[in-house]
Amino acid sequence: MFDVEPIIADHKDVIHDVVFDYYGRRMATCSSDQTVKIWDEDGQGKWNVTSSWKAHSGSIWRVSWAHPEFGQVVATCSFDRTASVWEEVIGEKVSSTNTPTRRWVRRTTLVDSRTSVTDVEFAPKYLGLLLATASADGIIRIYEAPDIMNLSQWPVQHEISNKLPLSCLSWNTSTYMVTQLLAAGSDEAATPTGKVFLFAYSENSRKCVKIDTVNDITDPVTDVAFAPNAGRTFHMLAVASKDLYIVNLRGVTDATDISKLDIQTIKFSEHNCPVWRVCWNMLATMLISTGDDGCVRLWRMNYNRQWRCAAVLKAEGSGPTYEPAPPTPTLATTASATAKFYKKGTIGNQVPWH
Amino acid sequence: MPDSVEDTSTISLRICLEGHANALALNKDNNQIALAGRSLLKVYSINSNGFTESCNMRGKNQNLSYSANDVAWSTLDSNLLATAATNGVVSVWDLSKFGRQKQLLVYNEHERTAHTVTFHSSEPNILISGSQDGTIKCFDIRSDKSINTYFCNSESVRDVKFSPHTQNIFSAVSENGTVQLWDMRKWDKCMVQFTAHYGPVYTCDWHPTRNWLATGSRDKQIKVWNMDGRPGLEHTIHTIAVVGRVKWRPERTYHIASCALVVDYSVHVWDIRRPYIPFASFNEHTNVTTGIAWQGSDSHCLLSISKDSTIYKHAFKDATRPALKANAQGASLGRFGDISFANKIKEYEPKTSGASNTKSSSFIRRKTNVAGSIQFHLDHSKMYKFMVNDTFSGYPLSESVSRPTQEHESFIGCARELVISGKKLSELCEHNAEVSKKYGKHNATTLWNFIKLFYGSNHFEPPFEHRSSFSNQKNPMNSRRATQVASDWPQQRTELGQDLNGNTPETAHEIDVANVDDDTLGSSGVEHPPTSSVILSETQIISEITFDNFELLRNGFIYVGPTECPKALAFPALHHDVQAARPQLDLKASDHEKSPPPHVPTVLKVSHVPPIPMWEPHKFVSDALMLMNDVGDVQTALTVLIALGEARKLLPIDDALVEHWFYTYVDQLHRYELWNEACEVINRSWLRSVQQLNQHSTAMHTNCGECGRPMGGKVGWYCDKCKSMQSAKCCVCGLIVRGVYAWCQGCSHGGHIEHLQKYFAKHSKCPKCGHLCAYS
Repeated sequence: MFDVEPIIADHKDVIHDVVFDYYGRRMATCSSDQTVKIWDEDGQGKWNVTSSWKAHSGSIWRVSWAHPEFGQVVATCSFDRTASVWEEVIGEKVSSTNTPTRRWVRRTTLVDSRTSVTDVEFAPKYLGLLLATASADGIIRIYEAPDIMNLSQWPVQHEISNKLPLSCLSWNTSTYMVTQLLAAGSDEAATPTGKVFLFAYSENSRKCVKIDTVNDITDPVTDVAFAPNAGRTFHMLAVASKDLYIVNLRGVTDATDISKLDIQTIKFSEHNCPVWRVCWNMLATMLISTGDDGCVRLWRMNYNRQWRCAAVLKAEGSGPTYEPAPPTPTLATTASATAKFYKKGTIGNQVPWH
Repeated sequence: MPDSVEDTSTISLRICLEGHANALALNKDNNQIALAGRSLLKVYSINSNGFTESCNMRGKNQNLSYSANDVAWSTLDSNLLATAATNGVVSVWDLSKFGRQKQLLVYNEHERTAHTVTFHSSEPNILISGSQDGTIKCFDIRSDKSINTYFCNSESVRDVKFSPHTQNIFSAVSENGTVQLWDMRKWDKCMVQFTAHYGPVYTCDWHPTRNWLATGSRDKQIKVWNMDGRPGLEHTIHTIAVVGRVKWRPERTYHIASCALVVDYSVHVWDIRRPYIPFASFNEHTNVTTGIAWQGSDSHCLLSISKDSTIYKHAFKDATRPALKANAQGASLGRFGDISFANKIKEYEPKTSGASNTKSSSFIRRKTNVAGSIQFHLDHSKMYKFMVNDTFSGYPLSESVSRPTQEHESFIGCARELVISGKKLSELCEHNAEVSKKYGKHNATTLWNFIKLFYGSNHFEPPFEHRSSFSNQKNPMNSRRATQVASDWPQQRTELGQDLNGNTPETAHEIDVANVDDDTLGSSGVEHPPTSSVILSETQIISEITFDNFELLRNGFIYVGPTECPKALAFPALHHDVQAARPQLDLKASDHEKSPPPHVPTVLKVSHVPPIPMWEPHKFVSDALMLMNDVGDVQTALTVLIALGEARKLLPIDDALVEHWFYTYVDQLHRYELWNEACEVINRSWLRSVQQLNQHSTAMHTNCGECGRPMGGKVGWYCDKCKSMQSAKCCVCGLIVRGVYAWCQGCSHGGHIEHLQKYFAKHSKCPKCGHLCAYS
């Protein structure tokens, strides 16, 4: 069972992203009111704002934590066409509270984009300190900090152009059979083509190229998320669109030793409304998705390798739902599925759907 | 009707000749537009399908008086235009004349660039202009000289606008950030003056229905001032770049359009009640937008000109809505299974029912905008945290489960308590099965039990050898052979998981072997150990197939059948298997009794006995590990592999995949800060690439605290340059450190770790040199 506890965020506009850091001890939020807030957890599990600063001249869309091996570094991207890299600096101790002051200093501003930067994400650790940005004009740029002690220099390593505007981006942290895999989604609503693109580094042409497109997802995509490294022989990508999709990508090598991707797409329609965010847990065994109705759904894989909706969480005080609730048979089915999963002991935190 | 036709189209007209326009103006009928630039001065007619040029005042004329910064159309006469030129000349044009006579009047009174010009809102003959020389001049087109001059304290005037609410009142904005309010009839002193921005103010615009003034500045802000009485700041909009132009949107009280002077090419329409994100944006221009205008009172049509030499007429329905495209929610899963969730709260206007026409019209308008402006400015987010509660309610609890264990607790607990080395394999498996059971990983428990069964016994292969040697013996032992065969029978059935029909050929094979064995004999002493071992294995199998495990076995490991098989059916199936085993035994005994008589004549002789291959569980165990990995339990898969020791080579698992499992598991342990467990796993690895992880970053270079040179000598605490061990002393107590020595990497000073902890609990600087050490 989940307890709901409101957090007084004090953002003056819509919050667009909530991100935990690598260890899950700190949290960053960004908002349309052009501020980023850093939250720390105290001993009783309560989140407190330790830093808040105006980061951009426009709405901040995404925030991304770097691996803690590189220090306390976050990257933000904004509607004002820039992305920034920030680093925390420890200052003098405040005499009253005996704790050091923490300031976040802007290390660099990436101004290559001509349109709104819609997503920013740090690459996995094995690639070094790498940063990828996606723009509304469909260009993906990959920056690298050659010297991790000097975060002011971020030359552009790769620039990939796409015809459709991009809305989201995700790195693959697993290196089995495919390396440097990058997924991007488009929120273009006009064309009925595939909206999820896959990019990888090509050793032959020495640059990042588009290797495939998921053609089964033709609705506007609002979020993509690769599952964390879980040791699987395939890679899982969660896609938030008009419905929730989970894409299984398996790297295969054919007779001519050319690597290809075997794509399998699974669709889930339980949301009945647009899906906004998808997020995996640290062990890549659970997926949450949030929809326009203000509910959070938990998804888990059973031992038949099938994903099931294990719980539906709704915060109290939410506004009216996007669509009316599904009819009773669906509710019964969901309850039955939940009950079944509990008997196996693999799901211990389900909540009956009200 | 023509307006509705125009609303449905967005058209673009590119002017490739003579450069870009700096300003634009519409006539009072809103069907003509005047464009003014450094090399451009034209009038276009606005049609439903484009723009057509109707007048060109410049032509080939190179006179600087024609290089206009601003253009204004008379509010009452459609033939009168006024331009402000870069050389300070203010010209009045009459479009009804021809040739050179178009230029009606030329006022050459400003000493520097004239920035702006505007007509009076009610008097047809009055116009004012603002200039870089800090003056505002008032002209009457019936006279060839200015009738008034207003001095603005020697600051450049960037924009002047007549107020539509108060007669003869106009506003002037300056480059020092001030806004002045003038009465046209009192030229000696302004009525009101206040500082509006931190930088130059470039533009201003009066609200069409309220006494509000909007100002745009280089500090990227648009400010809305209430000009009733003392000016008060009503709203502030933070834009992306330096504000170039602002225009209030007609028929929308809170909407204002703006464009930038540099960097940002878009035209944004803001709702002043939500000052952070534009309500709508037009992104067609490829260079800086220099002028914007709404087409009269039509709030759905916007005209814009740009430095890319284009003029656009935008239909509002084609605008980009950044707020609608933005992701309205944020969600993240924490390390302990808690969920942080930020959701946008939608506020809908309550629907009203009105009987009168006014209310009906208002209702219709509100309804059409319910998804837009009304919802737009009330958008905000609420943030929640879903925490995992240990008390479970709502479902009946199984008595065997006292409390559902959270997944992260299972992971951390198993990481700490699983044993992967140091004991015999059977003891490892038994201990790990208990740990898995304790943390609710029932499938892992079953897997550990099976590993113990298959690989934990030392007699796995000797029975086969005994059988081979037994075939060479000469002693007949019919009763003992029958017992051995009967013992093998249920074991093989259970392990293979085959149905009754699948075992019939095996039965025939067994009978043949028994018949052949009649010709050879074996000693009773040799037979006893293998028989006892096999019987023991059978007992273990039956004891392990408990009620719950049986279902798990069917669904997860041995038998992959219908997933919805209820428990009630599973138990009778087990009984059925047990019942089916007995007739086979009886049948075999009967056959055995019948066989000796026909073979007494010894007609058939076999010189060699083919060995019976034992069933190997390696492929099966490998598949089980792959399944555990696919559902996300890489911990169990990898620990089983490590615990197997040398026996893991029997499993057909690819080394690349095993290496992938190692990296994954180590990374997961790092996320939960289980450093010691990760180190143990790395040390247990048999792959070189994984073992090397513990060899990285182990060198520590030290500096002398006295002279700052690196300690290059063989002795780590002796400085070759200082010829002393001064740097090895504690900075707090002054004694030589024996034991754990901690130091700051910034200033190379350190000492006893306990002394430093006490010292830095109260101070933040180095006790020796005052360096701001990073201890906190």
